[in-house]
Amino acid sequence: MHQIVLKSIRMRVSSRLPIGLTAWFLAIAPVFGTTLEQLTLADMARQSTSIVRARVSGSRSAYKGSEIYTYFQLQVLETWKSAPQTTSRAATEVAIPGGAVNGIQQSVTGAPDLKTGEEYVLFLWTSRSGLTQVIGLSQGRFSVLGDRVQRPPSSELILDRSGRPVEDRAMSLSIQDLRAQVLQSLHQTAGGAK
Amino acid sequence: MRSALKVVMRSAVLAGLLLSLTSVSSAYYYWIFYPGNATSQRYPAKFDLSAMPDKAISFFISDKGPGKLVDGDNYDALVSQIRLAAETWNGVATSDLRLRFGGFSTIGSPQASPGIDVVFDDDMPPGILAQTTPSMPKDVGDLTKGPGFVPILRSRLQLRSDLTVKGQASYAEAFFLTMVHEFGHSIGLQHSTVSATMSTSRTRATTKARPLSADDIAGISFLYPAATFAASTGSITGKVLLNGNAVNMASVVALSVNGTAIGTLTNPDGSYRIDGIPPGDYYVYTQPLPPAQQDQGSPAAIVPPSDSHGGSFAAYTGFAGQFFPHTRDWTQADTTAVGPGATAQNISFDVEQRNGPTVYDMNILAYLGPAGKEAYVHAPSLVSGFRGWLVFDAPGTLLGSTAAVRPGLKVNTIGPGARMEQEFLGYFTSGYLYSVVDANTVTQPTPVALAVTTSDDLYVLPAAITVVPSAGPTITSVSGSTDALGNATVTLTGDNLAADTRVLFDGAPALSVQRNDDGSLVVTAPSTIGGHVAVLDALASDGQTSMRTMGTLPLPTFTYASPDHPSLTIIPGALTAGTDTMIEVDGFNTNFADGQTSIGFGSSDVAVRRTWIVDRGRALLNISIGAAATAGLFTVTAATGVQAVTLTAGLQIKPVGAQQMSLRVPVMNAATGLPGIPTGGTAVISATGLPSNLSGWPLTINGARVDYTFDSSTSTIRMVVPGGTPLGPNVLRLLSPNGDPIAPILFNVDAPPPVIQTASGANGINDAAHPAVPGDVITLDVTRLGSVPASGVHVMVGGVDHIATSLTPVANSDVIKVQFTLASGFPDGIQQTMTVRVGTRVSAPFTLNAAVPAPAVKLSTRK
Repeated sequence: MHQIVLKSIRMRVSSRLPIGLTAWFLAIAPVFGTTLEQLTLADMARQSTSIVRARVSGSRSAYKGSEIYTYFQLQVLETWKSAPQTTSRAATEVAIPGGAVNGIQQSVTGAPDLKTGEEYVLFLWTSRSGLTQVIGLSQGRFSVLGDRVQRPPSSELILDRSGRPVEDRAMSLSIQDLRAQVLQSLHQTAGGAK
Repeated sequence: MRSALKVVMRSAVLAGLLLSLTSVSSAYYYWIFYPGNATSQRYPAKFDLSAMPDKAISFFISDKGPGKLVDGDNYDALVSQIRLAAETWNGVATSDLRLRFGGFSTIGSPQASPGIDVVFDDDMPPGILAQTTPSMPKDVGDLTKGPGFVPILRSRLQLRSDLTVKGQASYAEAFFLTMVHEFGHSIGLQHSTVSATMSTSRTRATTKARPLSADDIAGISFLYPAATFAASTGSITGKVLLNGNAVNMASVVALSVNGTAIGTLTNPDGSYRIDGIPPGDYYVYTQPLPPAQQDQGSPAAIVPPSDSHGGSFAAYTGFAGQFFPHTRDWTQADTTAVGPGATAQNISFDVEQRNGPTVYDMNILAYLGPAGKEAYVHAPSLVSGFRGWLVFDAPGTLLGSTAAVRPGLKVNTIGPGARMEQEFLGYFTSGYLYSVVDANTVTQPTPVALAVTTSDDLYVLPAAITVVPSAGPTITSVSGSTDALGNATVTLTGDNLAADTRVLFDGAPALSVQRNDDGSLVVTAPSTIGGHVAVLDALASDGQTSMRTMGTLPLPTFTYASPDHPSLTIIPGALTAGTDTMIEVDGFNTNFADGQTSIGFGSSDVAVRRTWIVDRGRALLNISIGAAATAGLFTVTAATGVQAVTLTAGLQIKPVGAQQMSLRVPVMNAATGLPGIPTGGTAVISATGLPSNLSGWPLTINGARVDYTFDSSTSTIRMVVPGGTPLGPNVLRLLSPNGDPIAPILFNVDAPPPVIQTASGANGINDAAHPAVPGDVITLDVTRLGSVPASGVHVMVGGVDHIATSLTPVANSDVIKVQFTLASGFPDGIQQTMTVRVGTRVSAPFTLNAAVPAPAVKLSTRK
């Protein structure tokens, strides 16, 4: 166990700080937004039922039970991981909680914002009821600008294809680098990917 | 979504007008709406309490419970923790909102009245643990002509069905605070930025023992203010500008050296107003919201305000933080004095442009606990004299993903509570830094903020740590027994267990706590069913808890041996919509207890107006059923402690009848306007649907006829309560000679009211020549007070409510000396009307001679 050795400091408490901090962090990960569990890129890759690069072509809002969702139509450009029923270039829908229907609006803090005409890499999860949503509320949404994905700052360590750490506050990552990491995660778990 | 500065430019011409308009006060944050393009007046979303009996909103737990629980957890414990989390918001004295447990319900069944539904549903992607969705009207209409807010129609609080995901044990502090946080969303609160329970958990600094911060309290109080809110707190106003342009959604925080932090966000015109500030001296600082993280849709995951056309006003985060006036060094900052009912104005900022905040979202940990069983504790409590490691991480503190600390980074404490030893600031591991902190001597719990500075920026984290006078409680052993009736007496041994320590059995508090000379506690455990294993937590008054103090030691538990299989019956089992009525709930193997038992009927259209606990197996209630209530069958739930007993489909609601007649609750005392009448007093009974002539319509109390008068113009009945009517609940019934059904209701007969015999101020005198002044201790000689604690005695002087500070019986007499400290706020004039109230028993008025001092106005101080 790595210990911090303190030179000529007399402390009333233990001079050892265990390195188990990382394990603590991951086990009781500080959560954000509505109340979320922070997911690593590998987590999202494993737990997504599909991962696509797509352009939003439209939206509509509707009730599902007592909840309102806004359904965004996606024109899929690339599929990195597919659910069995999904094919490349197929349109699909992703539901974001919140919206307005029949005079009622619902608002969910932290819900991701998708804009018609914009391109994204989306980590999607389809429930048993058939509802497809973005994983981790906004965690599974990456905006695409040119050949790069726009990625807000995160405390997670991200590596490029050469294994070099990407700057923590990097606001962009190449699509190839992101794809490579995702595929690597999927191969490690033998999840398979297209 | 418009950019914040663009909106600002368009609004600039209105700046002069905006200053002259009274903006709806704001703090913390809500779902905000602006009418049209005007951003001078903001309208929050909230429940309409005026439409709810007793200003109470019911919350329901889905009758489809969770599918999986963590090993060692159980459903009754989970329900008790959820109830405790909701009850937390009821403890705010300056808020009028009350959350009531309405029982278990089939969520989604039509209900006309607002409510909150707690559901367990895995139709939620990985990465989400809980999600709350308030529903509001889409078309907010002309906000300027409405009630001043957008009504929340219903809120849905969704947890996962599989609570083993991320090990969400109901006894864990994280689960409890998450529930308090989500209930906060359900009643209209958005995220806070000052380490409150409404902050995201990364910066949250509250504990199970102190689950609400000053900011949370101010937030709910502003949204649902009690009468005392405005007079007891003050405000600060000002603007945040950048090169003369307004900054939208800048965080502005009032921070005292004793750790109180209350914040708000600016309007699109840059103006802000922080309300609900306890009187005192405050540093005021501004900083941008943290940028939207990977898991957030907007900065700090706060939904920006909207206008009535559906447009929104984005937050502007491109500026550097600063203290007022214009410094990053808190030691050079001015303090602003805030007085009760007063506003400190023009505390404004001219901020400097940056690309965004350099440092934000700091997470603080300390490694604490018994030797060998330490654990990392978030936002730790440090005992006076502690000197040790503090570990933290925040974006911007390191250079990229390296281990290099940002040059020029300094982390300092604000105020006298603690000191950081800057020379030890360094990189630890996994993106964390460490430093050494010294906790100074304090006499009461003192939250300590950190000021994190770089060469050109400032970030403040309120309540990063809390310095406490002494160590927290621990529970090292639990023993006890349960009698045949299910009463459990439990002895806890451990360290730092005090007489005012609260002990929780899962989410239910112990009914009584006694401290032995050896430091152990003997408590009466709350009710539950036999075989239940409750996890215990000791909550200290300084905010520490045994769970936080005990590191990785096993959790203390107690196993009940109480009778099994409790059950319920109710009389009557069928009620009619649009009526008020009494109902009797009988329990077998139950432990109904006054103040402990909640009874609900599974529908927000059925409001419990008052409950009388007759004994452990019998309760009487007055309930109101909304006229729009949907007919059907509903589940009755009686929850006491950890025990929740249900009667599925136990209540039938029938549709409202044509020309439905009903007596209305509560029955009021004509003299006091309160729902309790002594014998000989006059009761006022409201009614609806009655004919104008009630000749031949008997009115009975417990079956015996009483005389009454009826005013058809107001549809009110008046009667004198006969001598000999028993104290407590009595059945009132109006009988129609035509056989029309009119449900009986209950009214409460009080003991005679207290009587003020004498009043004296300083030196034992109180007359026109020697009036009392605010701050004086007043002593009243009172008879017929009854057996109550001092906290239950209210003294009203000139409309200002006081709570007694002491009660001292006079030997050999029935006189009790009631003492209280005279507050300010009563009207001009020497002779003030004074009454003593215990519950609904109010004395006749008595004259107290009291003078109003000359007002002292102090808006700001300069160092």
